[in-house]
Amino acid sequence: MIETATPTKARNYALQASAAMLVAVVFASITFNIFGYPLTFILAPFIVLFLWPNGADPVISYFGIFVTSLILDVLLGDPLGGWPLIFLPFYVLMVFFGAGRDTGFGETWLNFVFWMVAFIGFFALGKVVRFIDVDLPSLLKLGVMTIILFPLVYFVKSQMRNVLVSEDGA
Amino acid sequence: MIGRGSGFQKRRRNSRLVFIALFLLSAVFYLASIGNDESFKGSRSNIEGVGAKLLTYLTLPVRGFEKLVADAGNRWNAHSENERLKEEVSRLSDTEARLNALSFKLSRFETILNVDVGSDIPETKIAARAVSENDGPFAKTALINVGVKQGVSKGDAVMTIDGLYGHIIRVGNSSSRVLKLVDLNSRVAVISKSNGARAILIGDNSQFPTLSYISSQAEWEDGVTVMTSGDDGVLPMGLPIGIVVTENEIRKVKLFADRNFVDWVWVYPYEPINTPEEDPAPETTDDEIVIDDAAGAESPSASIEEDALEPPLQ
Repeated sequence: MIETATPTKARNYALQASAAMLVAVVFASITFNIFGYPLTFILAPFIVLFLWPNGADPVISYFGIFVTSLILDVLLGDPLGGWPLIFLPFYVLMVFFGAGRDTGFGETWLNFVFWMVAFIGFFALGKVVRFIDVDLPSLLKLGVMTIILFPLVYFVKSQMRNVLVSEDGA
Repeated sequence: MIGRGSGFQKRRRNSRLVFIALFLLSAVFYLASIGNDESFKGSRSNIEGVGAKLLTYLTLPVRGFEKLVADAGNRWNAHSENERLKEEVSRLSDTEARLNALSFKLSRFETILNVDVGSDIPETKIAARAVSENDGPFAKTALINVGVKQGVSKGDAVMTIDGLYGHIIRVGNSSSRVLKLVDLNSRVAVISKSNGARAILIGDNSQFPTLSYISSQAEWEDGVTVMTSGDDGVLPMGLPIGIVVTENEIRKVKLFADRNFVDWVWVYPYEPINTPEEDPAPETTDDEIVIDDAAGAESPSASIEEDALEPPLQ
């Protein structure tokens, strides 16, 4: 990845993204009751990781992801360290492939769908070879929910970026 | 381009090291957490306590909106619901009368036989709100907003109005973590209501947990009610769980508490029966042997003690 941001901007990007990750983590731990049917968005932090700013300081980003993932572990009652083991490599993959680079809404969304399918496929394979014990129907349902949620987060991010850029005077 | 010089290379190397260090640290946390859950017990309970409070406040507007929607639905169905409830009340009046008669009969038998076969189910229960329910791919747990302060302890049963929901696995000051019956790590000793057959109910992350360790003679037909047996010494006997259903020749249990959304639950504080090793009797000495002079016979305890003191026959 080629860095194009100044150190100050890179730090700010990383801090803003970490804050967004924290919001996503809290959001992920809330169960919504829609007409008696529970809806959870446990995989919502994946959207934030996918849309993580390209020029963000990697060290701060790693720490931000690590801490917020541990919080998610605690809030969900999962084994401590489980979500950081998933989120950190996912973030590295996103940076390496430049996956979340904004190429227009439609293409970015399709790109996200591809990565979600790859993620679920990885766990499905893990279950088949008995490496990971995971509730696949639940994972599939959560994946679909996250894909549906993506446009909303994308829209919010675009709006936030407009506000922040105009504040910078750029 | 900015930062393409040695500074950039140094930062890039540092970031790689940070990633590897954090990844390894996560792996250590994970292995410690699944190997010995007690390792982070204190700090984890504290964070869960803060999390429970935070989520209680954060979900207030969400729950408010949900209540508004539910209230509108209830008003819409009020008339038909009222009719249904009237029918249920008339049916239950007869059941209540029969129950009272049976209860009276049972207490008479208990008096005659000088035994107490009363229910293990505790009289007191603690109401709690499930502030966060995790139906994730890796664990099926819930966070409730009561803890040690309210009298909750590890192992207590957690019920919904329909049936058993799970049991407490971690307790904080004002929050607790509930392991749901469907979780992969859940094991509960159960009994068939119809014939008293025993089994272990094992969670497998699916909607219907599996009945395992079934005796070949035991009959578990579809529709039979399953409840806790109390054999595990953790949960009281007689808590309703669900009914047996067969899926691909595997006996499973359709839970009574399989309502899609659980908000309020009850915690049943239960004092399990300790083993003699955990709860040893006070040691007795020879002076404490009581001879019942008035009856001209030794008390049973004295006779046992004296027999034990005699040398064995050669």
